[in-house]
Amino acid sequence: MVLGLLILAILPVMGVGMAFGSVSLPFVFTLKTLFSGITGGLPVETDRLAEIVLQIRLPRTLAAFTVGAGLSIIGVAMQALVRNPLAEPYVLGISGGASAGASLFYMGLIPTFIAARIDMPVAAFLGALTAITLVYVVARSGGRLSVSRLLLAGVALAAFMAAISAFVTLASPDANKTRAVLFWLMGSFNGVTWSELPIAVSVTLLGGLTLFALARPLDALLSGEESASSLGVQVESLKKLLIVLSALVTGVLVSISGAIGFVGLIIPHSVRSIMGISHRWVLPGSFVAGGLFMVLADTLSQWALPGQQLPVGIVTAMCGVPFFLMLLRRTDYQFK
Amino acid sequence: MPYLSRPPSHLTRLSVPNFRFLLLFFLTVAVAVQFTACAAPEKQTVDATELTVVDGLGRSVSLATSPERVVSIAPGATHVVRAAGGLERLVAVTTADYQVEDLAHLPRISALPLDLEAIVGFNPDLILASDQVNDPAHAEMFEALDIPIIYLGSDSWSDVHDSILETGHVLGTRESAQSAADSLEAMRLQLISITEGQEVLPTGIFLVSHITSYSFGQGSYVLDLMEWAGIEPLTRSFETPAPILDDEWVLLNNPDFILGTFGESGSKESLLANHPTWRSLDAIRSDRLVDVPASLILTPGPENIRAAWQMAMAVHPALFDSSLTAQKLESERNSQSIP
Repeated sequence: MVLGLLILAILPVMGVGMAFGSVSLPFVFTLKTLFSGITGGLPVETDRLAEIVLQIRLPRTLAAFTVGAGLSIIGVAMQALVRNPLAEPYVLGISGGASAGASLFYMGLIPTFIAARIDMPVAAFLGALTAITLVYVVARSGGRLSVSRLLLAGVALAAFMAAISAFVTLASPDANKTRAVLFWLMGSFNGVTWSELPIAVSVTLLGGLTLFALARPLDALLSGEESASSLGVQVESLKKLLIVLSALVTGVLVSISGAIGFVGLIIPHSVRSIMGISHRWVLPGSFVAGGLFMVLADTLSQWALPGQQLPVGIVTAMCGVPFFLMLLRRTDYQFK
Repeated sequence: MPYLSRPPSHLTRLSVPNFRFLLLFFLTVAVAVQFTACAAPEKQTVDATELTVVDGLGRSVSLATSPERVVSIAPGATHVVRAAGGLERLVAVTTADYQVEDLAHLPRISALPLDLEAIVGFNPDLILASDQVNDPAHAEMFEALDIPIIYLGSDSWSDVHDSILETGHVLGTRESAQSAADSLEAMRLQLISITEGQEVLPTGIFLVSHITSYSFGQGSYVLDLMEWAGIEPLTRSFETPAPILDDEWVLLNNPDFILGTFGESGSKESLLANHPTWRSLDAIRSDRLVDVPASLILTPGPENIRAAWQMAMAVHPALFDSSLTAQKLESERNSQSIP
């Protein structure tokens, strides 16, 4: 029932995302332009307003939905993996690694032969990959993956990576690059292009379908590794798969949107409080709710300061957290 | 061990009269120092009344003598010192100051965060700051160390003008400062006389960077510079002085010119790489991008007038006789020691 309502809300919310932007456009014009763009009837290059709809708002709205959905399902996976309600996609230092990668790239501190072959999103992805690899190596002991070590190493590495980002940003003599990095660290969908979407959508769908297929093992994992193992779950393999999936999805998404916090934390808990703890419902619910939330947050970020960019990370925190705290006040909420 | 249980007799005999002598000596010195200490502030007070200025924060600052060791803790303040003809008094500038030839020999101190210890280490008899950049709270700290600090006003062109005169007054270079201030004002008025009277002004936006589209809104001195240059700044509609422009807004407003401090890496290609949808803008299609050196415009100060001239010449080439204008700028540059 709730999932059905969420799915039904996709079209109207996407419509809101398309209708309200930095500049005011008539809704009918937006609809007509969308229709013409889809059917190929409009020469986009000759109409600037149509270009705003088709080349800026549409990819931006789709990117927002994708990033929100992806970060939310990875939040679900991380919370199951470490059996800790505080977990989110960035808990394993992935966000810190991505930020450090972006900072080092912007400041020209990546070796030239590498920097010449990559761009900033790729640098962010490589940073995320480096961080999660280090955390994995530290957490692995005797062929097993220690969850407590995983968490501690993740927190420590996140702090280390944040220190790298802060140092290279502060020490940079180039104010333009410093500004760019600081803005990127707060997250934004401004400037997202069609060319960036296929990989992000593919990876998010891959992550979503894989996790949905793992719904039962994830339910078992929440009750403890031994219980899960006794139920026939290959716990170690599952943990490794979850880490790889988390690194892949988060790294790719962070590379197009910057670091957007809280979504992977508040959406899964909000969905659980409404739909229960079964991953069969929590995963699709979080996927859709996360996407909707991010589209609305991005729309609000454009509406709040017309003509200007307000980092969407600020909106997700300012709007999402009070709502989340209100949900937590409910006495019947449970994580496991 | 007898030599430890009883000290040698000659030491015992000498120690008592020496102790009394030393005590008497120290008491005499202490009294003398006390008298000197009381007398010193009196002398300072007399000198301090010789020069008192009200700075950009409205503080009244008294200086004992014409300062010889000046530390500038803001690039804008350095520009003002240069214009006022007091560059040789500088003993240090900040890491945020631009790397220009006449500052190359000076040591640099961290600007963000401000390296307070390093500043004091230069033993300055005056610190020059900017009311736009520097923390007013530092004034109290430097006052406690008996180092005068003056916050130069830079909120508007008239503030910059007044700051040059005030700095000349403080450094004892009044004539140079007056000459520079008059000359800069003449340049400004001449520019306005050239660019005014056009029926339709070309529109423009000014970007601080080709990466993130930081710009200038209401209350910013850059909008004044654009107006003097005969450009209608589209970002005047933003109430905030430092808006970050959204791509949609830029596309809708379609500026005639995109101006900015793009630098060496700021080609049209790099601008489009960061803002691909701007490809259809008239300014991009017609290559109407104007690069302005950051050292001339990103700090409010006397150099700004040269930035305004550069923008005007790029946007209205027909209004300028290029050879005459170049000569004029060169002569102004020489007269003001502007690099």
